[in-house]
Amino acid sequence: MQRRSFFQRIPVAVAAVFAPRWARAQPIDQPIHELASVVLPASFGRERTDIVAADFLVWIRDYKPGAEVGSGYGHPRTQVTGPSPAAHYAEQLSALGSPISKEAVEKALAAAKVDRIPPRPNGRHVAADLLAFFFASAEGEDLLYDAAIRRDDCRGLENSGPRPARFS
Amino acid sequence: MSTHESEVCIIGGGITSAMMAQKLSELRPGISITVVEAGKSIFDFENRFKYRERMVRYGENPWPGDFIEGQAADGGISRTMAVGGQALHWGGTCNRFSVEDLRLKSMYGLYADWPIEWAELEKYYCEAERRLGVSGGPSPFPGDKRSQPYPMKAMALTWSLEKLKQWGDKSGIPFQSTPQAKNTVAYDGRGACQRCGTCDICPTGARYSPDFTFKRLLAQKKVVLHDRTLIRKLALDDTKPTVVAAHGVDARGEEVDYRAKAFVVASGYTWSSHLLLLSANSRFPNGLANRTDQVGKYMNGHAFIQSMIEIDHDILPGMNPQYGLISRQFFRCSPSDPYVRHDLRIWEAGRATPRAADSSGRILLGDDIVKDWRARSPRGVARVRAYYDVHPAETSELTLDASRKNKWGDPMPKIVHRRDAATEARYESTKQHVQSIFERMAQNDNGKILRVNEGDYLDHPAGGCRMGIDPAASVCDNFGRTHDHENLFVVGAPTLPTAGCTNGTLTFVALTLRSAEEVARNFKKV
Repeated sequence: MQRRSFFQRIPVAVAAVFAPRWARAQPIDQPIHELASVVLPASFGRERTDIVAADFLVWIRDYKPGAEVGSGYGHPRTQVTGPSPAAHYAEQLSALGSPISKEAVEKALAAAKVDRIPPRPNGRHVAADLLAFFFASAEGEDLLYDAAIRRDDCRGLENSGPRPARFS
Repeated sequence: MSTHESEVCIIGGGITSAMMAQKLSELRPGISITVVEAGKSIFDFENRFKYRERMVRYGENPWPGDFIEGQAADGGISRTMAVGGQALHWGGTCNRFSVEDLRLKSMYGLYADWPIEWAELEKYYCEAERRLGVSGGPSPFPGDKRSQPYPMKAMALTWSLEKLKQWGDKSGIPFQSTPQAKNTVAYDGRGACQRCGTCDICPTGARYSPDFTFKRLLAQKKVVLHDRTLIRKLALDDTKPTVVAAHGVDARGEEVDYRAKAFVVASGYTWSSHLLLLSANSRFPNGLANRTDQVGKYMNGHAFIQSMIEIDHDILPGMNPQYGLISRQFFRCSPSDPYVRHDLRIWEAGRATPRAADSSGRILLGDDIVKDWRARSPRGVARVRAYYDVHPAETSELTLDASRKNKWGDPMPKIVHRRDAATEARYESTKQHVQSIFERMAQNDNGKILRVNEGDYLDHPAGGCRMGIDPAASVCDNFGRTHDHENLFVVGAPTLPTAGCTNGTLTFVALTLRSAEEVARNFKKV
């Protein structure tokens, strides 16, 4: 990971720590961190999986059911976001036991018939949703392509010609 | 009921409305102009980063509330209805049409000629590029004449686009950067593009959108803007075929009247025809400007075929995702050859999506997901698209659908696109031609066509109030002045006889700027 990207994520994690108590006290907080260390690439390192986990918790907290979503182009439809995908996370995490093992996650995903990572978290299983959250993110893509593309940053026009630096 | 009087009333608040209002206010300083828009103003530029973040993280609409529930067309491609219109969301692509687009009948014996010379239109292309702030580079084709350079240099090619250009050029098809209404340097009070990659909502304002023009005109008190006011009907003078009023309903549900010397319908390809049809009266039982039953006819757009092609290049998606390449090689077609005209575009594309189980059903986690993904999709992917020219039948139309009404009881529009017989007859050969180009491109750099698909709608739609010389076959003249009503103009997309074979917005704006001069001629200089 690029140093700059890493430090950009720190405020998110810090924000999670200093979030209101109701948000901090989510019972899923610690298990999500543990789950992240199991399902996200180990090569990513625990420090960074913790940052992703913290960001995922912020994402869950700030999710707005019933919000307008883009209507699409070509065949527009009025659409809104569905209910929070996190509704069953606590029980799904609990069913994984503690400490969470890779085998337990594999069994749970197989039982939930998850064979693909959804484009966005959809509530089918917390492990699949965490994977969706990560691999749909700019950092997830940067890891796959091994390039610090920094898709979601406003990067300026300068230096768009050279290949982005390696991510790893 | 409240009544508002002005010299010019512009109905609609999109990009052509903004350009009409701006130019009129320059040509006739002090003239009173009222712009009436059904949707709301989303002028909170300071919140754009916040909206962008919600879009990126949650897929939320980056222009909250930019539509009116129940006020939508069956067959429309966008539901946006707000001050700024569809150009709030647009990608900023500003391609010009070519001479051939305007000379279909005389060059190829097809469909109809436009009632305007390309050289005349070109002057207004230059003006449109200046007003919108277009960045672009010179074309490699001598046929793409320009009388003035682009206001700004083209955006630099990214790493990925440079590779894609090298690949495309190997096919003997010269590509260039696509001209865009995006600043490459500070321009017109807005900064240079910061490559945020979310042109759907440009958080920095480097991509032009009409809200900037309206905000400036309002600050200078050059226009009065009434948003959230739906115009439901135009009314005529009791004895003359002159439009005297636009009847509407405001956000509180109260009736409101706009009286003006000239009315400009700048409501886009859907709502312009719709309003004229809704305005039927005893003297014009089929709707205003519709004595010859041409309103809502010849609805047009262009078809498209797209391919994803895997190549031996390190293509990295997300470097500037809405910026691409264009070749104008196929804008021209020899009259002695079978007719096929299209643009050709290339964009960076993503590879396969990562998966949570392999083909045997084994669950993948962690680094195994990354390894599996890299093994499955080791090469770069290009998205190649051709927008090809199709010509509408007269029955390609917008009608009033009595089965769908808004809350005021007005029937909503229904659009059904139909192509003329000649277009239908060449469909297979057109498809084969485009497919052969994809194959030609895939011969280079170990290319492999992953898939090809056709659009199931016509893109960049236009028409419904086509311009022409003969009132029996058109709604308005080449200034947008309706044949039936001297003080009623229609501008922009609805006036186009055809949609060409590339994005239409620059043409909509160029024609509108020309119309503005004609509207201004009705008013004395102060």
